[in-house]
Amino acid sequence: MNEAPAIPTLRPEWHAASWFGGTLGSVLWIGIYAVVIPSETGSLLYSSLCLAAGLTVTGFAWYLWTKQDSVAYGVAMHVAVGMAGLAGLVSFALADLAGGVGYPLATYWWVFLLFPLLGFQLSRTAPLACPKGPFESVHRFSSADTVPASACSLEGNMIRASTSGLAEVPLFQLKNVNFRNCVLLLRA
Amino acid sequence: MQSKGVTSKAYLEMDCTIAGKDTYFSKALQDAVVGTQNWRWHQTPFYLRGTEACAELQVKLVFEGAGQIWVKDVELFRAPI
Repeated sequence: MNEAPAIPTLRPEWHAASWFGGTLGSVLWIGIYAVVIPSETGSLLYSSLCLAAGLTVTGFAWYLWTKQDSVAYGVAMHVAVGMAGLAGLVSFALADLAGGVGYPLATYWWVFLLFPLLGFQLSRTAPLACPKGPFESVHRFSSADTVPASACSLEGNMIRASTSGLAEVPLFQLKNVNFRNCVLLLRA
Repeated sequence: MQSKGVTSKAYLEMDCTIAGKDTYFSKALQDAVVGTQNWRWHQTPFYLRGTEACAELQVKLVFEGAGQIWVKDVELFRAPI
């Protein structure tokens, strides 16, 4: 019996990219609200409103995400940062329209969509939930479970799959199982 | 898994047929094999939430190009969520 596998985690490079993206986004929108807007408009009113809106949405988004297992993978950060940026810039755009300042920065609100989009991309490439308990072995595949396939051949205790191009090669099949409310982890 | 001369990505796939529903899959895309590699563990998770039950399970190798792959010690683990 082999030892149980580790819980699937985000690969280190994705984790680093996630933190880098989140930090960059945070610095970007805080910089816009705290430095660029006051210096361009000469008023602290708009930037204060935007900063307050951004921080409120960030806090709310973060609170929601901490209630989900997916927070472990840094997806939350991108969504929260993106939502905060959007909220801040949308509120700035509204304030800008109301005040008739005509400041063009608000037209770049879509930049902040990149962060939630990156978050959703991460959610597609990384498992979203952490199992709450340790893994237990439930089945070790053997030749009795193999599916006959022309691309496969048995070589001792191994299966060799060989193809000359695009192919889906079935290896094993388990019938009449009843797994529910759990994480299954296949390891080979 | 061990590979030889895999020209494009190749990865594990686990298909679960949910009772009374359709078949869903989990692909180990983040852990794909390319080229020639020595023995290394590969894994892919599948999340079954709520009352959904997996009635049938199939393990596949997906090749996006030519090549050879050897597999051994294939094992299924389970953890509660």
